[in-house]
Amino acid sequence: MSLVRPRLTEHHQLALNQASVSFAIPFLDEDLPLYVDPFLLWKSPSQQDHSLHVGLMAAFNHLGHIARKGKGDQARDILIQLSECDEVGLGNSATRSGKRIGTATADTILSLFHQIPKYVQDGMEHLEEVQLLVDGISKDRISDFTCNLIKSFLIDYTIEESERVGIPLSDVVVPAVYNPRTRILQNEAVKLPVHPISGKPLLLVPKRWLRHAPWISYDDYFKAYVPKDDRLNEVTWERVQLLAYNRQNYGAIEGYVKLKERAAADCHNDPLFKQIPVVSARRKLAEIAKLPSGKEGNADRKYEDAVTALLASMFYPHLDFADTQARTDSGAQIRDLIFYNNRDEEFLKDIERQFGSRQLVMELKNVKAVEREHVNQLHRYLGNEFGQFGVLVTRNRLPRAIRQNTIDLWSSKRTAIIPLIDEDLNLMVDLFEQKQRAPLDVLKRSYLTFTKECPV
Amino acid sequence: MPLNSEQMKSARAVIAKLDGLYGEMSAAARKKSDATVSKFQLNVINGILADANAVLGERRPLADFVSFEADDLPSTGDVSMIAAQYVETLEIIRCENIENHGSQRWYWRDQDNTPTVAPRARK
Repeated sequence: MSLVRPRLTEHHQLALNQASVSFAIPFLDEDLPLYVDPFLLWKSPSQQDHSLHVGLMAAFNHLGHIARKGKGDQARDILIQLSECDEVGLGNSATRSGKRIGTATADTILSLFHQIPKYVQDGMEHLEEVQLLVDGISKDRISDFTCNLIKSFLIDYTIEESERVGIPLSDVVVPAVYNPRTRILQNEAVKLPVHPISGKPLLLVPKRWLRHAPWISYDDYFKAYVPKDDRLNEVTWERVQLLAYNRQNYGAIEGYVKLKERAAADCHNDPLFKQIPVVSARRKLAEIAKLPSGKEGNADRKYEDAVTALLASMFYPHLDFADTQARTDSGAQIRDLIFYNNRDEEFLKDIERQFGSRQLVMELKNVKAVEREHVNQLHRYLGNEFGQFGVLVTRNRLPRAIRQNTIDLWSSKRTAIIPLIDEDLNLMVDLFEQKQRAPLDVLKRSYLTFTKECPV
Repeated sequence: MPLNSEQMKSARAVIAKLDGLYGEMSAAARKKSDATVSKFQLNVINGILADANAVLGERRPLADFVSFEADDLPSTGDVSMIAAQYVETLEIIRCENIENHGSQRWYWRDQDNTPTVAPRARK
């Protein structure tokens, strides 16, 4: 069994939680569902970020310039190469690799620099405008264009951060790095973290630039800015028709962009994980308390959903939530929560040292009384990356015989199965509200109570 | 358990602290007895209990209890209950070390005959 949703830091056995680092920790098997929003560079008070935006737009406008000067083929090649940046691992891909744009799309983008007088005269101010003018260009492309055009900076940032936190670097050749002096793309031999299987270079991206959708986006434009039909009270434009209209009437885009610039103060980066507020935690708790045990009326499913939402927030930032996982054991459908063990607390370090748990598994059981088979199911699932430590999230205290069963498992196999019951969830939410102690302390208490009962 | 003047001085100090602690914690426990006590509060509480244990020596109210464990997440109800035990035991010790000189006024049996209040009426 390997790590569930492995991240670069877990692979290198680094105890880092996402909240403590300035970059988004990349997944190894899939993309992070976030995008670099160039507007966050534009609006940043940091001269460095703003300069990167200036450089980015100068480079993009230069492509339009050379295309107008008869070097369309060269501009098209560069644009196509810029359209995918696998090294950063952002977007929706489940495999960390994407496809580049075709020549037709590249030509349409370059044609904007002939077609729109404002671009001919002053150049483009925001890269995101391309989404509003060309079909087939959306937030992932804007993010990739941006990352590729500032790749040189990202390389330096990645080296600096990797050395700071201890991510190993390897000699590698990074393709298509934009050189702002020669204005061409070139390969660069540098030291970077690499993907453990593919050996491809990985680039780290500052969290402060990431959003789920760009501030200037087609969806937002279509929903909030395009005038509605008077009679139907809805936008009647077709996408392609609207994009063609925009190309002929740049004023519409200009007005929208000015509006978004004026509202720049409201534009913030999206956190990679956001804890639910206290009110929502209380609501989830009330929802759990009301649910009957068992499966009637999908109570088990509702219980699992509510507990997932609650625990992911309660253990943050000490345990980063990795995933939920469904599995079948002896014909029973089981749902687990998997957390990365960030080892930033002595208790979590102990769990890793004593049980070898690089990830923590929590099995959810909406039953009135836990049975021997439930404990055995969790026990069978433990091992390898999960180590010999599992948490059984259930409704009521373990019956005496089952409690004894968990102690026997400790005695014979050195396996710790720790219960977390409704009462514990209640206490966690209390601690979450009071903010004087971490809700994780409840898990620690449950563990210590268990160890006190175990024979030495 | 007769105390010397120095021990009586310590006992007076710890009685005052424990009375305050018990008052605060019982009020908090009446509001929400399962609310946990913060780590800061627990350090203060354990400090007061350590002073009380030093005065009481072998006459600690609970043989198995010395102080609270932060990892056990004690609640206001737990602290209130333990504080009540200490308050009562210290009152017994106080009663053994005060006298009334044949009037309504009560004094510690120390060098200065420090005034105190009458023994608390027991229910």
